[in-house]
Amino acid sequence: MRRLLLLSALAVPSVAASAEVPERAALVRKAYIVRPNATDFVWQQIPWHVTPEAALKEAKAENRPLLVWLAGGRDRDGSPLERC
Amino acid sequence: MVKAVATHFVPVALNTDRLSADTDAGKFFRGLMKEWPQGLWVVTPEGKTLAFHYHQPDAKKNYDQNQKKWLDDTRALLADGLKEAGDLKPRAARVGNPFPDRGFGPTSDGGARLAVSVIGLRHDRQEGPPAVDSVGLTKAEWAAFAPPEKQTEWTVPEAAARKFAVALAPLTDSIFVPQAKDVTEAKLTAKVVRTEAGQTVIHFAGEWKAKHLRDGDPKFPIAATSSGEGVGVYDTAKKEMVNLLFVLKGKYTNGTATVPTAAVVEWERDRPKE
Repeated sequence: MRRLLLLSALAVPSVAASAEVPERAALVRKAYIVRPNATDFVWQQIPWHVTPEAALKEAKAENRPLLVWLAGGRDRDGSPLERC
Repeated sequence: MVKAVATHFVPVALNTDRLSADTDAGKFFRGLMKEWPQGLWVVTPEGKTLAFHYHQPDAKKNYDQNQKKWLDDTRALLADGLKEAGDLKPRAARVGNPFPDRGFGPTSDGGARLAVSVIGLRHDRQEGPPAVDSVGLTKAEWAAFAPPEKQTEWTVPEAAARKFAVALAPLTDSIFVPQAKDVTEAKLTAKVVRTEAGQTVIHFAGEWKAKHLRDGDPKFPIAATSSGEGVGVYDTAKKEMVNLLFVLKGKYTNGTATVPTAAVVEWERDRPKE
């Protein structure tokens, strides 16, 4: 379930940015090869709530259904948007 | 699909282990778990389930087939939810970021939350979906990435280096992921490359080894190693990091299967302008 990789609003730094330092620019090129591409992170564009109260309040205010993603088990910390 | 979710539903992602049993909202979402312990639901604010889906990979199908089924089933869930919801007018999508400090700027306590992505490799190419995570550093741990006074070489304290453990595993389920306590070796050294124009360029080199037991069970041992380099830029006037980037390569062994891995760990002081 947690492999639900189409979802979230986590921003990730752009390794293409701030490449004016040569050492960093060289590492950015290495990162580019192994960093997941934009398609892998399309799910980050969804404006997820991460607190139950805020989500329920908004759903009630707009009388709109919730899309609920629940994951966990075994008393783990974290969020479905990363790992849990 | 992303637009459909953002404009029709109120999306929420929650850890079932951290849902309060004492609040109305916590009880609301815990109620869904009576139907199934985890999964995707479309549910009204009153608690009526309009659609539900839980993906369980079919052992008889390969990864691509299971991935397609999961996508198809998720699309069907959204379509069913929309249909059951009836006359639902799209809204302007709310703009939001649940983890605004992930990979950017200081955390509220002056630390940093480094953004992590990890992939498994097959023939040097990405295999499967990436795992995303964070390295959460306290103020003191974060300060150790900056050059100490009058030093050009230093070692980042082991406590901070250990937190890179999450960058050693390509899997998205944390039961398969070594944690800081599982690290048997963590060495992260730093060296000033040069200082000019108000910036100090720092080169980092790191090596990690970890042993983890899935669910604490010795029958399910996991071993991971990783090494790599990082580059950080430090603002000498403001005395703060400007950016930090690591690229790591490693091996992840779950039972008898070993997978090459690659990870990117990154942070920037300033969020790029939209």
